Amino acid sequence: MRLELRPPRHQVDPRAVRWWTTQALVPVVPPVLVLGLLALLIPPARAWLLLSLAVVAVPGVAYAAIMPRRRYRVHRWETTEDAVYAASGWVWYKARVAPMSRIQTVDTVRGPLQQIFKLSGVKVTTASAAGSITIQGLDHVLAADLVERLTARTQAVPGDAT
Amino acid sequence: MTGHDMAGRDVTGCGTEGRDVSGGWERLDRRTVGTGLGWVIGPAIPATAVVALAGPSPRTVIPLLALLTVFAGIAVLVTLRYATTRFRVTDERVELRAGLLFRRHRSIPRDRVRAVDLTAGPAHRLFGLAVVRVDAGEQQAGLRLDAIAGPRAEHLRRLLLGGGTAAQRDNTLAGLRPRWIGFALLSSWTPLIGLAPFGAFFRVLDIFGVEPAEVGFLRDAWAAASTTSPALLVVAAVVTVTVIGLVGALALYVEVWWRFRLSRESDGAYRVRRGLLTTRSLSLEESRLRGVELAEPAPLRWGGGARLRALVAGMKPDDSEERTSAALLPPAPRVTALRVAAQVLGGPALEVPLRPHPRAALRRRLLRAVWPLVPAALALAGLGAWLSWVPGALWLLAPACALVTVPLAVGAYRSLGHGLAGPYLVTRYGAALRRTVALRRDGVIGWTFGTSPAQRRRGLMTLTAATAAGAYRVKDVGVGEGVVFAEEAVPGLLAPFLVSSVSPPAPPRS
Repeated sequence: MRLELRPPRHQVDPRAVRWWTTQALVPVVPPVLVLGLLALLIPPARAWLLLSLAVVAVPGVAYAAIMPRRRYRVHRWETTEDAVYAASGWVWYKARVAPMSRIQTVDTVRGPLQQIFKLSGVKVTTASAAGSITIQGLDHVLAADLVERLTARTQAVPGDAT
Repeated sequence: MTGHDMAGRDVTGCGTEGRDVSGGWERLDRRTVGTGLGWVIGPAIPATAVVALAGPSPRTVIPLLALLTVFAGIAVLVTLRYATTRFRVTDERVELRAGLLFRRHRSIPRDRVRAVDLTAGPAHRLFGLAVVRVDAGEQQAGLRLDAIAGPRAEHLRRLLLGGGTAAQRDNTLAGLRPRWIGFALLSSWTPLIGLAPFGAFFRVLDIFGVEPAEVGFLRDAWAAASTTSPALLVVAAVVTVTVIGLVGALALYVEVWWRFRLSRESDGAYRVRRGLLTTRSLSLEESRLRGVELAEPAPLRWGGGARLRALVAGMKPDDSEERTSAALLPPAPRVTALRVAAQVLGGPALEVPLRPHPRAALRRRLLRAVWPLVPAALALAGLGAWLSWVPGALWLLAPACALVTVPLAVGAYRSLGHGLAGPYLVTRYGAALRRTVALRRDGVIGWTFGTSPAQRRRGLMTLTAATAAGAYRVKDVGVGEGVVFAEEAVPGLLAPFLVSSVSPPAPPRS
């Protein structure tokens, strides 16, 4: 018999796909617009401007098209009475498990973009610098609820968290 | 508050052992002011010598005066620190008040004190002083007393660590052997140490605005160098740098490890004492110990040597001072390191046979050793064809590199291993620098299972155990084996997330 680590039970919010797409497009769109405008206005340099536009736009758009969907397939999370379990990544996958008894703090993290999509991240910190787990792209109501539950749970579990 | 005088404090300190030492506040030792003066006198001598040699001119005198002003400023700061600092040890807390404009009051509960380290540099030793650093574990910043009298510092250490102030029944685990000095010569820092004086010399010339061509003996050396053959010159340079490097490495080893002694105190803490000019006494509470790491960098390994380091909870891994303070042994014979490790761990955990990793890990390393050479060879061949002065056979350099990279890859694979030994989990990896880590299983506060695309194709993964003393990896272990190993090492944690499977795993679907 072989043992396998199964993926965590819950998926992140479907709105996360739109959030990640926006996040990927934000650094690409302004230079593309500027280059496009310049190409319109400066005919002699048009070939070069369009070429540099393509150099920026093609990888940027490909990234925005592929990354969010793959992330949505991989990113998953689950909590039990005794542990937090989360999977993340889109090229390099990471699955992290932290026991409830070793959790020090539970916080929500919300960037400006996340707020637009009504999303939140939940960050679970342990005594190890390498041990923190962040579950990104949860519905903000669900995230607040999760933080509350985890905080209550970690206080109930005995242990000095080191 | 008027400070107690020296003698009076020593009497109160030693006379009230075990209880509240002094109800009132204490000052630092007044000889601290003397160490401040050392900052002025020390650099003034070589600087004046430089001016005397080069002849006084605005170009040399002005930077010199600036330099001396800075050091005089430091001396004033030291005096101010002496004048404004007060500390006391009560039954519950260690307290420190310092600062002239910004008064700081720092207070550490005594049961939070994790380590008390004593350091004495040459100036401090001249005055019989020691710097005391009280470390309060992961959350809180520690405090530093710079400086108090040596015996008082030692007494404070015993008092704060709660070790019986009674008979010093400490148990020496290891002491420096004269023949270990040979390992100093196998330091991987040798070339850097050899180059350092040249760098420092030209830096000083630069600070004082002296052109290298103006210095007499440099001009002569350059004239001599331009007439001798380049091959001879290269040999001479390599020999010079190596000799200086070896001498420097030896001197460094002696300075750092002189009179080294690792002992176990009666309260269970480990203590390292060492140093020739700057003496250090470092303590390590057993409850902070999460394991040990045996490091075998290539030159040291060829000589049968190894380094041993404690994995200490709350230690900042980037802090080089903290890293060196966790060293349990100087570079020493591997057998000695293993013996000390077994004593610290309570068993020969580092010597258990380790499970090898899948052959796919070897293939991965071989590919990584060979692939980058192909574009390098192509680029060199292209250059050879394009530029007439580049020799056509230059591309052969790239395949020649495989003579180094392939054995490294094989060595890296042979290093890989993991296993369990009583309360420890053991992992080993690395080619040029081979590390063997024994980690307390109950110190694991999280697992990370990471896979790259290449690892997924080959059914491998990298397992990372997070602890309060840093994260440690089991590299390129088979996916199934890694999960089983993590579950064996920390039973129950992964159980709810495991499924038994006969078929290969399906990728997660939405």
